[in-house]
Formats: sequence, C-alpha cells, structure tokens
Amino acid sequence: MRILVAEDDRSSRMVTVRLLERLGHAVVPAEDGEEAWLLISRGGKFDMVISDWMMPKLDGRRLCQRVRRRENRCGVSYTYLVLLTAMTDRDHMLAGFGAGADDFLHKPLDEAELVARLRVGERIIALEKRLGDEVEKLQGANRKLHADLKAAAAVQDSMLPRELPPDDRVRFAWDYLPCEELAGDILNIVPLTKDKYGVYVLDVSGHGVAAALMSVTVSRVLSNDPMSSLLLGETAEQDVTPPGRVLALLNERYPIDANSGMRFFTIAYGILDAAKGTFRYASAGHPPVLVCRGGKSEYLTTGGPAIGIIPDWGFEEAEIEMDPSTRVVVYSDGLIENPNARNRQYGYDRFAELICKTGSCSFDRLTDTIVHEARTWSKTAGLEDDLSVLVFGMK
Amino acid sequence: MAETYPVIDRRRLADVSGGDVRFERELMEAFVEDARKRVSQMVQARDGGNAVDVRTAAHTLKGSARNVGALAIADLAALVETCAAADGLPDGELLERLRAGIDRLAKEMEVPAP
Repeated sequence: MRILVAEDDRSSRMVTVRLLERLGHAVVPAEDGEEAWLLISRGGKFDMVISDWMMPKLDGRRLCQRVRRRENRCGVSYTYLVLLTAMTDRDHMLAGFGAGADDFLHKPLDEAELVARLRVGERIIALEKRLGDEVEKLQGANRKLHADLKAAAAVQDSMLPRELPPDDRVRFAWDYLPCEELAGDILNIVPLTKDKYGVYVLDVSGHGVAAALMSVTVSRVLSNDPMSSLLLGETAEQDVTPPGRVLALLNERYPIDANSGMRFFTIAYGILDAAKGTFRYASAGHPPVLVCRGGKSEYLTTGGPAIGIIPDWGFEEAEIEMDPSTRVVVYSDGLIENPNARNRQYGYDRFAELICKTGSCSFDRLTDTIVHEARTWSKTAGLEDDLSVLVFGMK
Repeated sequence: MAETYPVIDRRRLADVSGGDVRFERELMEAFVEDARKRVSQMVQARDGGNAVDVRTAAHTLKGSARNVGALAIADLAALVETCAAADGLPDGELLERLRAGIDRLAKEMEVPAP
C-alpha cells in the first residue's frame, strides 16, 4: 500500500515509517497535519493515511474531516484513515470516528497490532476499490445507453412531419412531447397526391424503447414511399387507400401476439381533400377526433377496436365538410388522461372547452396552448404519457 | 525507582529496526536531540510558572520515549506530566533526573555529544 504518515514527533515518525517499510509498504512521511493535507490536496494518491491525533497547526481529527470533505466534493477514491493516539477513552474514539477515521492505532505502536489493523484496512480498501470500479462500469454503460436512446430519438424525430409542399388551401400545426426519451406516439402529415393529405396520430400501448420501435415500424408503412406505403392506392382507379381500408390492412399486419410483444396501438387516420374540402377518416380505438366550428365543438365518434385486437374487423368511415372556420384536432390520450396532482384526469369536456375558448387564434398558438395546458395540469406529477397533437383546417 | 529500569529496551529497538544498527543509531540521535529540547522546554516553562506547557512537553516526551523503548525516560516524563496535570510544578531535582537519564541513554547508545 501507499501510506502517508503524519506525525510531528521525529523519533515516533521514524519508528512508524520504519515498521511500515519493513512490512513492505511505500511510505511518505509528513511532519504535521498541514504538510499531510498539502500532499493530499495537491493530488497525492494514498491508500491509507496514518495520522497522529495531537499535532500543532492541523490535528489528526481535522485532517480526517478535510480528507472526507474532499472525497465528497471531488469524487476522488476512498482513503483509509487511521488515527494514532495514546488516548483510549470513549469520547475521543467517537470524535475520531465522527471526523471520518476508519480505525485507531494505539501508542506505543505495537507491531502485531499494526499488522492486524493494516490487514483490515487492506480488505476495506480492496472492497472500496471494487465498488468504485463497478460504479464506473455502470456509469459507462449508462452513458452508452443514453447515447443510444438519443440516437433512437433522432430516428424517431425524423419520422415526424417534414416541411410540406406549399399549398395555400390548407393549414397544419402539430406538437409532440415524449414523456421519456422515446415515445410510443407518432404523428404525421403525408402529402399523398396534389390535393390529398393523409393525416394520422398513433399511440402504441406502453412507452419507452419497445413502444418506440413499434411506432417507427408502423410509421414507415404510413408514408408516401410507393415501395412500402399502405396509403397509396392499390388500383389504378383509386389513387389513395380509403381510411377504413388502411386500418384493416394495419389490423391484418400487426396482430397482437408474441411477435409484437403483446403490444397494440390505436390510430386515427384520415384524408384531407383540399380540392373537395372534405375530411374522410376512420379510427381504431383512438380518442375521438375533435371538430370545432362556429364556436361549437363536437367529438367524432366513428371508430372501431384498437389495431391488432380483433381480426378481420371492418372499420367504418365517416366524412365531414371542411369550411374555412372548421378546425380539426387529432391527438393522443396524453392530455385527456393525464392526471394532475390530485389524480384527476383532464377529461374530454375540458379539452373541448379549451379548443373552443381559444377561438380563431393561429394554429401554432393553439398547439402551444394545448401543450402549455398539459404541462400546467400535470405540473407536479409530470407527464405520464406521451402527448401528440395535430391541428388542421382550410383557408 | 525509575532509574533502576533498563535505560533502553533493546528488544523493542530491534523489533523496530529489524536489526539495522545504522537505523538504530539515527533513531537514537533523533530521540536524544529532541528529548533534550523537551527538557529545556520543561525547565523554561517551569521557571515561567506555566504548568500547561510543562505538561505538554512531558506528554510528548513520554510518547516518543515509549515508542523507541526508552522506558526509564518515559516513566520520568510521566511523573512530570502527572505533577503538572495537578497544576503543580515539578521540582528541579525531577527535571535534573530526567536530563541525567537522557545523558545515560546517550552514553549507552554512543550518541555523540551535541
């Protein structure tokens, strides 16, 4: 071991150093507590410090306190501290342990006792070192995990709506708040044809990595990539797949089973036709789409079971007219079901009221308001679920 | 009396030094030099009527004397310490005996005179 000996009495110091050296240790002597402290605080690495209690300037007890404070503040490795004292009374022992000492050695130094106590010290030092190594390993693994999650979150973000081709007939706004690094929610606005936009919000059961993987997988078939998209028409007469059919295809492709990790998802999917001024949609277990017009709001109740639950389900479709005052809000249950500090859910009525109240403010303001409301509502509890919101209308 | 004890416990010294005679000589030189300083401190403190300083110096000498195995000196120092702890001052004879003990040790261990 590398041992620092702090002892002001020269002959006693010589005896201690000599005994330790004969036992095979590397010893650095210090003439008092202050010199010992300088050696330590300037970065000297010692497995053990054996310090006299009574010393001028800085005594052994205060040296112990400083060493422990430094360990706490700077996160340096543990030093085993032994106080050398002729005092054997209980109060002294307690004060020494209280200052951070690990053990005591009695004067005059007895070789057999010294050997025994050094052995105890070595054992503790080895344990502390192993603990430190393990903590470091865990921290390393944790850092890597965080980096991986960040990379995964970037992939997920790349699946969110990109800049749309300019179209002065329609307006869109959206926001998206994962409650963890990765979300089980995903949403998108997909230009399908010159006039038609596919719009969806989907929510995979649970959250975290497994839910995120599924949301990313599903979002790849809900794109306008002709190779993989389910949204583009299957026949020449049909340029886009009708919403009910899209949900039926998803239902077929993603049954809830061991392959999906018993996960399922809900989705609201619709097609906004800018030429005809209509929104045709279908829903699979998703919170009802909210439509606001003329200061009144209405939930669209058309829907079916969540995707993957019931095979061969025929998903109903419905269509609404879009006039310039109509705004449609598609969202996930993150806000509606989010409990506040008193464990009360936000609820559908409050949500409808909020949307109506915000009147004709800009769409971006509307999504900001919804996100702000969600954060305020769950201020103390924090978001318990991902929150997605997508608002659109026609000009 | 204290002076009848061996002036140095040679076994203790050998345990510490591992039989290294050069180290023993260095240790004895250091001890004798410091012990003389402590006695001078005691004399000075006693002349100034300062029992606390007498006690501190005696306590330190006692500790280092025990550590090197200088038993007679340790016992005399302990006597001085006890006397000063009771707020008394040691008489000159006691301090003289302490000084004589150190001289005897120096002679026995062949420590060159200062």
